[in-house]
Amino acid sequence: MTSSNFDLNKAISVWRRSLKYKRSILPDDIDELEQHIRDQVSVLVAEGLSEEEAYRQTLREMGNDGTAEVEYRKVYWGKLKRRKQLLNECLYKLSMFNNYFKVAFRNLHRQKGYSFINILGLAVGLACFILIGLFVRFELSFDSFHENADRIYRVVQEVPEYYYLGTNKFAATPAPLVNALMEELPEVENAVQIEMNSILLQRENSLFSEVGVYATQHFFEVFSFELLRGNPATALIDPGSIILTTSLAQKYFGDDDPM
Amino acid sequence: MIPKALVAASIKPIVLSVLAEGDNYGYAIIQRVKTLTGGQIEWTTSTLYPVLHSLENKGFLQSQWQESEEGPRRKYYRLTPNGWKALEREKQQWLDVHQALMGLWESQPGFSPT
Repeated sequence: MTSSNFDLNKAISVWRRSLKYKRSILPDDIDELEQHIRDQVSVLVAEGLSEEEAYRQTLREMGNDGTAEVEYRKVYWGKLKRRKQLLNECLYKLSMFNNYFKVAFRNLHRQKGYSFINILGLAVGLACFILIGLFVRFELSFDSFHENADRIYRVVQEVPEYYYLGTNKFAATPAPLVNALMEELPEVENAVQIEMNSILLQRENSLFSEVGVYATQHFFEVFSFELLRGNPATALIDPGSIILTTSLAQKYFGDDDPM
Repeated sequence: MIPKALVAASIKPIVLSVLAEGDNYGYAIIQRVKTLTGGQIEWTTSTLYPVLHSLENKGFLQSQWQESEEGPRRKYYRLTPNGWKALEREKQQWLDVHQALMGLWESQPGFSPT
C-alpha cells in the first residue's frame, strides 16, 4: 500500500498553486482544468489504476505548463476584452512600472561589477555610433547645393610610398590634365581646374594679400554658385577677370560701384 | 497518425459540430472525438481549452458553469446563433474539399471507398 498516503485534493491544491502566478491562465480557467483532471482521474481509477498513478498519468498527458501557457496567452487579451477587463489590465501593468524600476536599480546595486561592464559597454557602443553618425552627417552636409552635386568629382593623384598627414592621395594634378580628360574621356562632360593661392590685390592706395582661387573659365558650368551681380557665363572668359565676395568688394571699393 | 497541421485545421469544425449535438464540457468533447476517430485524434488540454476560449471570444460559443445533480461543477459550452452560422460555413468548405478529393479518387482504378 504505497499510495495509501496520497491525497488527491492535496495534490490538486499543489498543482493549483503552480499555476497561480501565470497571469494568462485565469482562475476560471484553472477551475475548468481542475475539473478536467478530476474527470480523467476517476475514469482511470475505474479502469483499475490507483489514485496516485491515475493522477500522475493525467498530468503527464496534459503536457508541461509551458505549452499550456503559450496557448492560453494567445486567447488571453480576447478574453479580457470580452469580459470588459481590458482597462483594468492596462492599469495593472502601469501600476507595476515603479516597481520594475525599483527592482532594476536594486539589481544594479547588487551586481556592481557586471553593471559597470554593461553600462561601460553600452556607453562605448553609443559613443561610437554617435561619432560615426556625426562624421557621416558632416560629410554629407556640405556642397550639396550644386545642381550637379552627384556628378561632380575631384581628381586626385596617388603618390606611392609618400605619406603626408596620413594620406598618399593629393588633390594636386598636372596642369595639362584638365584638357586631356576633356579630350580623351567621352564620359567627362566638363572639367575645371582650380588652384587655391594667396594673391596680392591692389586698388589705388589699398594693397592687401588675400587668399583666392584661380579657376578656368568653365567654373560656373560645373559649380552652381550664384552671383549677386554679373553674368556667370561670361564672367571668367577674360583671363584677367576677378569675382569678389561682398566683403572684399566693400573693402576695396567702399560705396563705389565695383562693376 | 493524423499530422499536427491537419489536427489544428480541423479542430474548429469538429468542436462546433460536437456542440451542435448538444451543450457539452471540455473533457466530454475530447472523449467524444476520441471515440469518433477511434483514438486517431486525442486533443490535449492545452489544445482544446484555448480553442474553446477563442471561439467564445469570437462570439461563436457561450459558456456557463453548471452544477449537475450531486456531480461536480462543470463549464458547459453552447453554440450561439453566430456559432451555428460559422458551423454552416465550415461545413460547406469541408464538403467542397471532400467533393474535390472524392471526384479525383473515384476515377482512379483500384479505389475502394471505405
